[in-house]
Amino acid sequence: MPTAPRSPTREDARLRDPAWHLRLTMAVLAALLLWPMLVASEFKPWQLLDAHSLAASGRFLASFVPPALDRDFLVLVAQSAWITVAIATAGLTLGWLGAVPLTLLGTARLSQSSVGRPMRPLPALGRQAVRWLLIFLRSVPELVWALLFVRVVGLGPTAGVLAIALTYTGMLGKVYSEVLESTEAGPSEALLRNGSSRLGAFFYGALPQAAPELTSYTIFRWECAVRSSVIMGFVGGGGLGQQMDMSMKMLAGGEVATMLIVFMMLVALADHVSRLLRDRLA
Amino acid sequence: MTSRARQGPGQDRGEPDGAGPVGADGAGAAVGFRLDRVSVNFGGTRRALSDVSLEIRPGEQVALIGPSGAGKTTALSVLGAALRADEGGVSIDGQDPWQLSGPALRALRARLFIAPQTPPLPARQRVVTAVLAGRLPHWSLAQALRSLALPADPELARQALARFSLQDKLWTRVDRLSGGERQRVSLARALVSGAAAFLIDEPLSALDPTLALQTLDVLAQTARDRGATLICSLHQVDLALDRFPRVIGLRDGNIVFDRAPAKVSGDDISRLYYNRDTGPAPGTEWTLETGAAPSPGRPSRCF
Repeated sequence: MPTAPRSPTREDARLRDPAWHLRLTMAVLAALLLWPMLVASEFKPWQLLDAHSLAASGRFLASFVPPALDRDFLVLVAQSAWITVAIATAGLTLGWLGAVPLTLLGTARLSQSSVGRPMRPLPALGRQAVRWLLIFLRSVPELVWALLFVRVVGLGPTAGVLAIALTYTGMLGKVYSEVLESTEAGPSEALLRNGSSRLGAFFYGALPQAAPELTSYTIFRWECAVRSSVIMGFVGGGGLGQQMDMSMKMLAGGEVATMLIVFMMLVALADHVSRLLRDRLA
Repeated sequence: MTSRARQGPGQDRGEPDGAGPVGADGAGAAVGFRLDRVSVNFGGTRRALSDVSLEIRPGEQVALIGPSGAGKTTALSVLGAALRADEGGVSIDGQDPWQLSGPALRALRARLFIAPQTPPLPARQRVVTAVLAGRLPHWSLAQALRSLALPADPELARQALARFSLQDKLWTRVDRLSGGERQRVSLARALVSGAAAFLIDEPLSALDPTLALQTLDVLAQTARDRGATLICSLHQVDLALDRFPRVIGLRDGNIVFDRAPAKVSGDDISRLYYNRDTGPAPGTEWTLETGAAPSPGRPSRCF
């Protein structure tokens, strides 16, 4: 025997997972933080099940059947749905146009100045400024932007388009950056190290890896924009939201049900297109 | 295909695309390197490079050998202006890269081609695009975008691939390639780059002995034809000694020897590769007079 066996206690210490204590602490802390939040949000799910609320929700849901299917109403819904889709698409497109340059500026993975050394102060400051701009744009709810723009451009779809454009610039810019940061560093880094520009490294190194995620996220956001434009319809933005607001006020459950079905169809369509494109790009 | 492909890209095509002065960038103006007492510290107790001085003349061919973790990759990164040293002077082509302005540093980097050990190729990219990405520093944005839709110069890529017998993989996607094929595709990118110095990190790690020999010869021949400098880190000691006029042995961030292969003895090699845990390299008797094996470090932070 060349070496004496180590004492068992020392062996145990070597095999102890060094990350375990931190993980345990974090889990306990998270649970402790969750409790006051549940209290603050008055989380009492059992209220849903008492007889009074069951009867109220039952009446509300019962008014949904049968869905309104008369011809005039369907034409109206189709027209409103078209406006809603147009608001969502136009808003998302404008948001995308704003988000792409900000993403390219804000993504540290594509930084020229930080190849082989810590990022220079000026580019780091610029990146921080972009990050704050994105935070500002998406922290203001689109409803608030819409109320602001209604005062500027009047009632109608334009306010909704602008509101979606601003909020979604912030959302898309943030998530695009994060998707790009989570790609494998090797390809874009190698291109930067060999003298490519930032855009060269983006198009030839990062984008091929991130394209499916970027696409499916963008389509998911279109889906969200359809929902947002409905909410803005409630404050006069036109489209399905405005119709739904009126139907709700008239307690016409059947009409609301028809519009909800149209929504489901739009969301299902987005889901289908997303899967199709992901398969194509994978 | 044949004679044309054998000549190699670059020679019969001086100016493949109008944007960059490839002739001026490539053949002719080889790059020289000088490190003066360079140290690199990644934050551990041991330095990745420690007080390394060395000079590599324009057009020279040098092999870097040494055990895993010796600092070969770090040395190549410092030489390639891809990593700033913590201490010491670095001079590439007579200039300190870290004093240059952004555009000048990019222009210098375009003249150096660093090929990392893991082929840096996006899985979903086609081989032709991955190879032509070597031309990016010489392309305008419009050219780069156009080439994404319709590859700008497939013939240039095919010729470069043909040097590594991969010409029929031109339109294949990178994720359909084997590890060895990926490695050679990333070297084909080096060939189209028009760089004046190649800094190649373990180009043979995924190749069988025959391919390794062929690949190394293509690199050396191309560098020689273009008058470009070639610095290769290698684990194949026999190939390093057989194919390179100058071999540098690195261990623990220090240069152990730096001489012509004829003057490198078996003793030098065993000393270089002596492993404190497993003992001398296979087939050697030599032992290092050190104390007990150092205890393996524990990770300081992990999730």
